[in-house]
Amino acid sequence: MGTAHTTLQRFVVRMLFDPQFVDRVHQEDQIPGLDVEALAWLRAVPRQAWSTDPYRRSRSLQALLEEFPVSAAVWTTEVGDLRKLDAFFSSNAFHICIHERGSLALSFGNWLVASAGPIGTLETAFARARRFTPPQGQGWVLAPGHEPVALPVGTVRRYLAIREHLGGDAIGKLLKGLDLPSNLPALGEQTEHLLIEGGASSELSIGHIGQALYDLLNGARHAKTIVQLQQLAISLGAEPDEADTVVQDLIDEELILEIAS
Amino acid sequence: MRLTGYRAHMSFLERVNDLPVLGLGMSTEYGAGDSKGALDLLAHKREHPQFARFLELGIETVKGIDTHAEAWLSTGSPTTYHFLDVNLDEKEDFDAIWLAQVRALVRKIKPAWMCGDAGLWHFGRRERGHMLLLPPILTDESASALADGIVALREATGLEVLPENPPGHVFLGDLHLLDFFARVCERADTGMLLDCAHLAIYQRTMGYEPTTGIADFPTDRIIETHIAGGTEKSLNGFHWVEDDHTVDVLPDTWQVLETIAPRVPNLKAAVFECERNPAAYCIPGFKRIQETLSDHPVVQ
Repeated sequence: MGTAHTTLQRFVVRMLFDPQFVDRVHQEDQIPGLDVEALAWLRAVPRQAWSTDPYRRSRSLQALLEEFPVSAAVWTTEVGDLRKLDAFFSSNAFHICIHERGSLALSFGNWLVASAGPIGTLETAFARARRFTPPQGQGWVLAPGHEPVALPVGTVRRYLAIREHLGGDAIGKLLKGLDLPSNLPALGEQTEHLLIEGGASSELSIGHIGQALYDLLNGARHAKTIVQLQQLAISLGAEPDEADTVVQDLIDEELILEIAS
Repeated sequence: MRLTGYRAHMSFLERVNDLPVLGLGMSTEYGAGDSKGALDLLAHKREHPQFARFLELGIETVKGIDTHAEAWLSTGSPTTYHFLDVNLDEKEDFDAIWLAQVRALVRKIKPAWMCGDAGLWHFGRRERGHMLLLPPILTDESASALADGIVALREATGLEVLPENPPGHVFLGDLHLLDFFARVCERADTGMLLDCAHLAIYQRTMGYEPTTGIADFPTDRIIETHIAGGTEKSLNGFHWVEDDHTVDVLPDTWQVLETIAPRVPNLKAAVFECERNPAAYCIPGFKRIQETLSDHPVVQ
């Protein structure tokens, strides 16, 4: 078989979640990533076998929404019935996530941003900060658990107001038709820069930072050498003789760390 | 290092002599003991010690062990570590944080060995919402990858790692499941945990007789066996068995156990997986397992 077993296993997961994809596997002449033998094996499985768990999608959606309650509230207010978010499991975002061994929550968050706007961006940043995903590459990189994010002024206040309005069992309330109040804090024209930090527990902290620090930390998402970070600091306005201090401060405050590979 | 730990210079069929005979035992996982009517582990041990000689702890490192497991550990009684959170055939899954958590748990619970379903426990990264359990792809390439993972985990923990045949109702590949696990055992130089219920599910799903392939399988590699009830289900003409650990063990599963019983000289442990059922309902199953294995040291 030319198709790697791990690849084939990911196709199985996609088919278990997405009946539309099951149809594609059965109807299309070729499925990218599958050789003839692997495709034949998948087609030999009785089609009903892919849908023996009728709650697979709703169970997974419930878990996702618990991490994105405020985005879900924005969705219900501005788009429609919360249950329609089930469409995520037939989206390209979902299939790419499974195929690339990604994070379902982060993929869901990024998919949701299109309709939940800045609140979706904020909750996706929370999700990233919680995960402490080990960074890739070699050099100095943004420390896991730290997320710089740029949002319209007022996003955090709006988020907190919706969160307070929802209280406990947010998803249950939204399913019952809970509306958002009309007097929520407005979003401004200008941008605020935030640093979200995940802790040892699931607690998160949010702090305001300047744009230069935001740009510097954002630039450190991909591993860089110390010299590259110093050059970036200079390009962002640091004096040449203070660039090493700026970068050393990031190291001392454990905002960046060195990785070997 | 514990005497029962892994000794790299010996073959498995030599090392197996160092593994203790645990006997007939039960299993649990985080929160199972809190289910309404669940088996009370310590009460079961007091009242039926012959059916509670050890406890298999199903573990996700992110959850650790619950108060019921802690209570068992406080008695000093034997345990095994059944992982619920590693895809043995994915190198990416053996990250440093997970391995550190596993080692810490091993130090705490001092299991006789590690074991667990050799399938896909989670898609993508190990995180909330990614959990499921799918059987391995039954190909030669997959068997080699699985064997590599077993060796890696054995070397990382110093314990024998016994792969278990997982349940499922979608099985892909060109190998029979027992042929697949024979290759895994040989390449990893290990033994295995044969789940009789899972094997029966596989055989029925694929249209085989319950005992197909057992005669050609190296049954001296079977160190542990599981027996559990299942529920027959149907959907639009498709029939399958849900591995839901009821006490209603299907005839196919008993047939598998009866067939392997005289062929497993190295069997050290048998588990009746009935953790969410009241003790009174579980006793008939334990008794039948005991009777089926009555000629074997595992229940002496």
